Order: sequence, then structure tokens, then C-alpha cells
Amino acid sequence: MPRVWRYALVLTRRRDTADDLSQNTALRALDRAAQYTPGTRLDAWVFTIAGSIWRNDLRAAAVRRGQGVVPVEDVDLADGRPDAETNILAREVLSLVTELPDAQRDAVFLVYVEGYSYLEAASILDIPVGTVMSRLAAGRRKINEAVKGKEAEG
Amino acid sequence: MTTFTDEQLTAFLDGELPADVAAEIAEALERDEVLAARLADLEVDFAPIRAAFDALTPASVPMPAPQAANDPAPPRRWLGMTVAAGLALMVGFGAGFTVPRAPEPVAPPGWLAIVASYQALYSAETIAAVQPDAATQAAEVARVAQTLGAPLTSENVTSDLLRYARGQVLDLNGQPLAQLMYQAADGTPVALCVIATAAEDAPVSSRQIGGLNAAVWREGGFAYLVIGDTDAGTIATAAEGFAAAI
Repeated sequence: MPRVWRYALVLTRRRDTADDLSQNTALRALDRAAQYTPGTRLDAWVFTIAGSIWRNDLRAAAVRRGQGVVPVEDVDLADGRPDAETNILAREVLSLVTELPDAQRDAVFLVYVEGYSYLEAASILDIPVGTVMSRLAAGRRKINEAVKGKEAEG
Repeated sequence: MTTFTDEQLTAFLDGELPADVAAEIAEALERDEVLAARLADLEVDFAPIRAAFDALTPASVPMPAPQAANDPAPPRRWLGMTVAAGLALMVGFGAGFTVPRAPEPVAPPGWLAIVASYQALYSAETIAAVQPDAATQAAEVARVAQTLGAPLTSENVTSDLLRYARGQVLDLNGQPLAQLMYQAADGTPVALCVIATAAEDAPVSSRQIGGLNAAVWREGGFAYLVIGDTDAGTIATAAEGFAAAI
């Protein structure tokens, strides 16, 4: 389930934890199917569940296992790909988002990668729209600086 | 002078501002270099980032058994199956891929609002002066069609209600956006915009975007928008005409 999984990867920054989180998310979504309101966006609902499981259950466990803060180079993002050069490039591009502080990263991913509106992202993250906006502004500034930094390095 | 926050500038870039505020910012950017520099510091090309994420796939994520589908309670089972089917659809989008896919063109979030905020800046005078001949129109439409790979021809973008004025390709966060400008009988500028989309086909529907009347539809991998500050009937009829011809 690539879309749920990659959101899980953005949240957890680890492949194995992302596997756990996306499976737990799918199970809970099926278990709570009665709470889904037909006509609303199913993907947003599933993302909300993933975020909630991560914040309430798995993150604490991951931190206890010493996995809470992982240097991004340890994140095995591009696993099993034959083209090493593509991997390095893709990793650099992905790190623009994955290196952001947690709160900014989630908002940037939902709006700029998944294409959710501010309102939808606010609902998924359960925060006010104004907070989404300030996180996006901060995220844009940081990514902009990081890109300029990389360009300056040549 | 009005000072805009970084949050407002971000929302401006994302097409999430009301048209009047977006127009104020667009106008201020023309003369305020400091504001323009602040906006530049917020600009990010997200296309390569989206592409990198699109190329990411789980090595192997086995699907859990759809337990809820076996639940005996009828309403819940129905919902369970809906959710299971939805999850299966989300899975279906990329399951089995182990090589990076070429990123699909996707209309940037909020593109309708961005277009609306630009459209609000056009006046009748802007467009009245532009009077291309048939050959110019054909050449412009052909260039637009080729850049987007969209099935547009000089004939199918002609409307009885609107006079063709100009066709060009704009860049919206790295995505080509076709903008065909027309003038309605009352002088109002009206645009037909086209952008590639991954969303499925949808029939013509009328709405208000940023205070302007608009009609949107999707067909064959392209999203179409007719928008202008003229009466809703003209917009809807013109949109139906375009949709039928294209």
C-alpha cells in the first residue's frame, strides 16, 4: 500500500517501523470501518489513522528502542534499487523533506507531495489551519535554504 | 503599505488565498523588491521532490486479511467492504513496482485558485487590444497543444459565445498550464485553462472560484477550466461547448 506506507515512512523515517505502522493502519482502518463517513476522502481518513497510531502508540515504542531520532543517512529509503547514482540523487532530494523538523515535515508532505489542501491537512493532523500555514512557511524557507546551500556547494 | 506575512506569501504560492488578497500581493510584488525577495526565499520546486517520493515503494508490505469484510453486521460489513475496496485501490496504485516510475504529471494543489487569482487581474482593456488573425490563432493553439500533449485544435477551442484573443503556455510549479484567453460579448476576459491531471474523468460542473464564475471538467488525463467575471450561464454554455468539441 504505497501511499500509506510512504506517509508512514515520512512519519517514522525507518523502513521497518513504516512497515509496522502501515500494517497497523490498514488493520485499524478495517476494524473501524463503521466510523468512516461515506462520501468523505477515504485516503485522508486512513492518513489520520496512521498519524494517530504513530503519535499515540508506535512512536513511544520506537523511542524506547532508541529509534526515535535517526540520522537521515541511516534511513534506508532507496532499498534494492540497481541504479546507485539515482539512489544518491533521490536520497538527497528526499532528505530535503525528511530532514525537516517533525511538525513541518508532516505538513509539507501532506500538502506538497500528497496534494492535500490546507484544510484537509489541518484535519488529518488535527491542528488549526493557521498552524499548517506557519509550518508550511517554515518548511518552504528551510528547503529553499537547503537547495541554495547545495547549489553553492556545486 | 501593507505588510504580508510569510504565511500569506506561502498561501499565495499555494493558491490558498482569497482572490482579493492574492491580487493585492501580486500587485505589491510589482513594486516592492523586499517583498519579492521574501517570496523568492519561500519558492521551492516541489516537482522533483514529488517524483522522488513517487519512486519510493515498500520492499514488501503484505496486506492484512480483510477481517472486517467478514463481520456479520450488515451495515458495518458494507462499510468494511467499502474501506477494504478503497484500501485495495490505494494498494493497486503502485503495488508490485520495484523500479522507479516516471513521475506522472499532476495538477499542483490549488491550481484552480491560482488561476482564478491571475484571471482576476485581467481587465476588458487587457484583452480588447489583442485581435489575432486565424493563422495566428491556429499557430498559438497548435503550440499550446503540442507543449501539453493535449487534444486541442483551432476548431475545438472556438466558441460562439467567446472571441479568441490569445493562447499561451504558463508554468505552474513546473507543470505546463495552457491558458487560452477569450473575450465575452460583454467585454469580460474569459480563460480556458488546461493542465494534465492524474484524476479520473468528470463531467462539466459549475462553481465559483475566487469570486469568479467557473466551470470545470476532466477528460482523458486533462483537467479543463473555463473562468471569468461574466454571468454563470455564459461560462457554463461555453464550457459545455468546449467539452463536447474537445
